Amino acid sequence: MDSTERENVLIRRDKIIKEEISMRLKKIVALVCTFAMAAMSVSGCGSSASNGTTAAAAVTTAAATTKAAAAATTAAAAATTAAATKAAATTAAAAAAKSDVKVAAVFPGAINDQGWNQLAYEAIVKAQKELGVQTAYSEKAEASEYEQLFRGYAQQGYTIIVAHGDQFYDAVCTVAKDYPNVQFIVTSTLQSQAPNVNGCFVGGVEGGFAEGAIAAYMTKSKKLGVVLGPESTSMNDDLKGYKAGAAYVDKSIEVDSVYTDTYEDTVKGKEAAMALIEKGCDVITQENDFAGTGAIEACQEKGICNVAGVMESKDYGNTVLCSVIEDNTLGIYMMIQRGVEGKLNGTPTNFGFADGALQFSGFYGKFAETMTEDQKTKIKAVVDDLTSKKLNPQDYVTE
Amino acid sequence: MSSVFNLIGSTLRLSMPILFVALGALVMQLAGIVCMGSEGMMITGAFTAVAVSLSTNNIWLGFLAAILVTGLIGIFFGFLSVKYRVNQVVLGVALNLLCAGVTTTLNRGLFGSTAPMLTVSFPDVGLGLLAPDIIGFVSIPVMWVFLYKTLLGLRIRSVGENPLAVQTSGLSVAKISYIACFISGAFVGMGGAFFSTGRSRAFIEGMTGGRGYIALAAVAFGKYNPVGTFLAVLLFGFGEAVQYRLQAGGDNVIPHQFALMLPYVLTVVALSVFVRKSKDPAALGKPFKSE
Repeated sequence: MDSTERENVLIRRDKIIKEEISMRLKKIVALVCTFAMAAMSVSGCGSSASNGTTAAAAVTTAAATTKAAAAATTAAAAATTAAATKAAATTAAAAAAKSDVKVAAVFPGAINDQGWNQLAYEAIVKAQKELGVQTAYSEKAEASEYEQLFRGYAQQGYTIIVAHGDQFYDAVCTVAKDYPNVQFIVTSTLQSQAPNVNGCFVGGVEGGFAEGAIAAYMTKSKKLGVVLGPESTSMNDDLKGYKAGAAYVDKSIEVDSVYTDTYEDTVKGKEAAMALIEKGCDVITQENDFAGTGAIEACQEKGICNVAGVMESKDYGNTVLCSVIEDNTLGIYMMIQRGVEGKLNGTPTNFGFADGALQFSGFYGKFAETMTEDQKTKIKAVVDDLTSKKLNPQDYVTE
Repeated sequence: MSSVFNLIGSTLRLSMPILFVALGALVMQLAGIVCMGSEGMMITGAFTAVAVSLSTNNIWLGFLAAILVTGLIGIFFGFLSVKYRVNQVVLGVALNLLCAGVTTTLNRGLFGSTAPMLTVSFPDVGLGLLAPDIIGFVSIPVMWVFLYKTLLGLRIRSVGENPLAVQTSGLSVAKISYIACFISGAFVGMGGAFFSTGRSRAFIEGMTGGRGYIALAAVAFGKYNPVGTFLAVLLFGFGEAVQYRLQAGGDNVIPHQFALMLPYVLTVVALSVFVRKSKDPAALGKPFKSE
């Protein structure tokens, strides 16, 4: 082998080594990316089921064993301590009594999503603390495994199973037939199936009715605007109730609404409210959680009165007059409590003001200063009548 | 007349944050790198701006921080796709997922699981527009001059068309790509920052909601030209502004499901009717291998 040939071999070898190194680096990069994705799906970036990113499998965990993990999220910890202090304060026998009832819950998203799932998770934590039940839960349930999850819990001796969302309803009905001794609670629906599928709904028509009536007492232009999220049974019920409430006060009032198709996008919430305000609406209500803060922002800019739905919205602007708060935690907790007491029998419950699951915040902000005593009295009368059930919103629903 | 102004105002408010992102994506695409990570960079910019604005109480510092952070992410993206020739589409998707996760985790870590806090706001310049809107308008001609009248612009475009020719003339393809990636990241970050601190004054997980992808479509729609891109973005914003007004127009003018479809239908129709052929840069998505 002469020198040039050897040189050629060396160059070739050098090239091969270089290529190998670059291949390896590529592999490493690919691996890092894979890990990143895997880590994310576990850490719960796919918190809302709607955004399409979903964990590969639902994580089924017994609450007792993952207490530490749950406590890691500050909110959960806060909820736990709050529940604990409350439990200590109440003299109810239930708090002290250790129940051997086992409660399981299936959530469509992550338990720390600051919204829908977290509210239900807090209800489970509360039940564990105050009723002394044993609990377990599954997060990020996929449509393909609904039945399997419910069957699994039923077979393991869980006698109360909470399915958080009306998308579970069909699967629950199928499974429930095989386990007559297990009581199923399905949230966000008023459907039910005797003897053991119980629908549970907070707010809906009643919440909308209160907001519509309040807004109707405040309007001068006789035009009210509602900003909605994605279309769903509960959204439509909110709107139905709102229209009924407005008509209850004054039949000539016009209610306009805009669906924004989002719970997160505040910009869409704001532009939707802007469109309603331009149209002449002088009281705006929003039903789409955080996206609704955009609507409040629009009201703030234009000096328009806001009657907030769903959550306490006092801090988002001084043009907010009041909030009608939906306490889903309390609703679900009360359903579990009924289950523990053996009072569930396959009928739906619509929680409202009477149960405390709907709450009226009282008046605040700049419109509270300028409103008349007459307006205040009339609005309070509506809330009181709804609370005492003297007024049935369903009687005024026209559609 | 006022309703026309309102419609224009709404269109601009909805379009401008996307314009920044689209201009950023334009630069990266022209340099031959598929800007699939625009959504992830946008949400990172949105989060950085809010986090820094809240902690320093200065909204412009947040804006600057977002530019820097996403500019660096842009360079990182360029580094992996140029140096290690990673598949750019896969890399972009990974980046989007990673950014969504990281911003969510950091947001919960820094601010807890409570309701989002509001930042201070940008100065108002009328029609509901804010100071960064002006930056957006100015960016269009500036970007055009930069890309078509400066040497660096020419080099960036050359890298996207024929990297071998660039290398043959003694220039570093990698270096030019990194510069393009930084500029790109910076613009995308501005879009994110403007979107969060300007438009909603708060960060909410997943708030960008696919706007990064819309921006990417606008680049192709606008035929790889800043002015065309601007028009494409405006069209989408216009569709959205109109659909809210259609819905607010009272019951049953048009079913709300159709109104919600409008911006997307409008874009698809415009894309198929007016844009016969969008000429991608010749080397787009093909990692350059030096001989």
